[in-house]
Amino acid sequence: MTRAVLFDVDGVLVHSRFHADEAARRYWDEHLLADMGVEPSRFQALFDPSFERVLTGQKSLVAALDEFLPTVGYRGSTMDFIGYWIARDSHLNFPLLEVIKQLRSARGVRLYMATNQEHIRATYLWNELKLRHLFDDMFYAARFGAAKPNPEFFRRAEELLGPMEQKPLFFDDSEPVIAAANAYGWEGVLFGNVDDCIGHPWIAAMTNPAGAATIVK
Amino acid sequence: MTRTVLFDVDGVLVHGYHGRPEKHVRWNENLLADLGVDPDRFNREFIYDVFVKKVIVGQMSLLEALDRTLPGLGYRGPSMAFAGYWLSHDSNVNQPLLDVVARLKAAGTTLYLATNQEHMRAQWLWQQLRFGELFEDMFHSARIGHAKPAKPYFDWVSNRLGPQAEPPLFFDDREDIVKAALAHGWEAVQYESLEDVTGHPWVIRQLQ
Repeated sequence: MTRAVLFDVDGVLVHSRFHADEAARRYWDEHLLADMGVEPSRFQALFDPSFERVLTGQKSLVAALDEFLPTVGYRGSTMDFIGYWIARDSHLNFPLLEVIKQLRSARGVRLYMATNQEHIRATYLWNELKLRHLFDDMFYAARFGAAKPNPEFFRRAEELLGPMEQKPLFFDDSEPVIAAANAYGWEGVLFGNVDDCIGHPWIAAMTNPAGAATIVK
Repeated sequence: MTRTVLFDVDGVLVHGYHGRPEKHVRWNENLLADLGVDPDRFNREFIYDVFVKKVIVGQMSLLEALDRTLPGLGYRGPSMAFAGYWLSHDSNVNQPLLDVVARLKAAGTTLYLATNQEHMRAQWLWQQLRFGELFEDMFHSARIGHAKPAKPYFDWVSNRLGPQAEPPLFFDDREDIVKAALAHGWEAVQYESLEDVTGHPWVIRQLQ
């Protein structure tokens, strides 16, 4: 009896700037002005609705930044800028990774990332942050040509997961994404902090050997 | 007097296919044993097909292309893992040449990469292999939407470089690309071994 457990990246596996609790927010761009000469608030203009095309792989991040960076005063190499960004936007949620390591050693659990991501950062997360050591595969928007909460994202993920006896269990920090996952037939859990994962009954049972035995029965 | 110098990657800064078989370095020689994929089929059904036609010019992502092709080649694992294997194995850098490049940089030369490459490996070369520490920028085909030897590739790069006091000096291992670069007005040199760089008159003067 196996079950797929999927985790979002930003706001879940990696701390983000959008956490409801101000104290839990983490920023990659605190020194962006000193280091790269770009005002962080001006950089956020990149994430307008047209950025969806980058997330879904219709336009490359390099091409988008080649156009955008000169408008915020950056004259250096786009490749350098991307390197600076992805190396810093990597505040991993270590307590959550501990739970995932426990799940990894539990029988019958398959682990995946499910994230709205373009290709370059996806590669970095997988190869450089070594998330490949913890996860079986990475499902991301640019790979599928569709971003969460588009049901096409869930459909493509299921195609790769193959037939399963149990609903996929999915942690994400976005309410619309969780609503869409539940509507699709997954068990979506809104993630605010690691307790939302540890405290989930199925996770609790799988990470506690006595409990896991009960579930297998 | 500074001059712009551009280097190709595969076959130049990173060992790979070489016209002389004894100098050919293969990243995929254990691909069958390691991942269950026959390298010749991979070359035939992936590299010389969708990869060259669509991926390196940025019309299809590497992952999507792998997702479509790998199951037919008998690979059942995640495409991400395949891509990771490829990146890490196709990283046999030409260290003696990189040492020359570092000396050129120290002598004030403005250096760029000019390569037919998709985005994932481009960023890998820049960031993980640290080519970004030696070169000013990377002009890769997926970024431009055209691959060498197509004219729009060279037009894009020239536009990016701006006016030049001297024609850019460019090293590439492919004869057809060298011809196209010469036709574009660059000084292009076909790279076969280190001496093609270290023996070049302008490089000799620059490193004196």
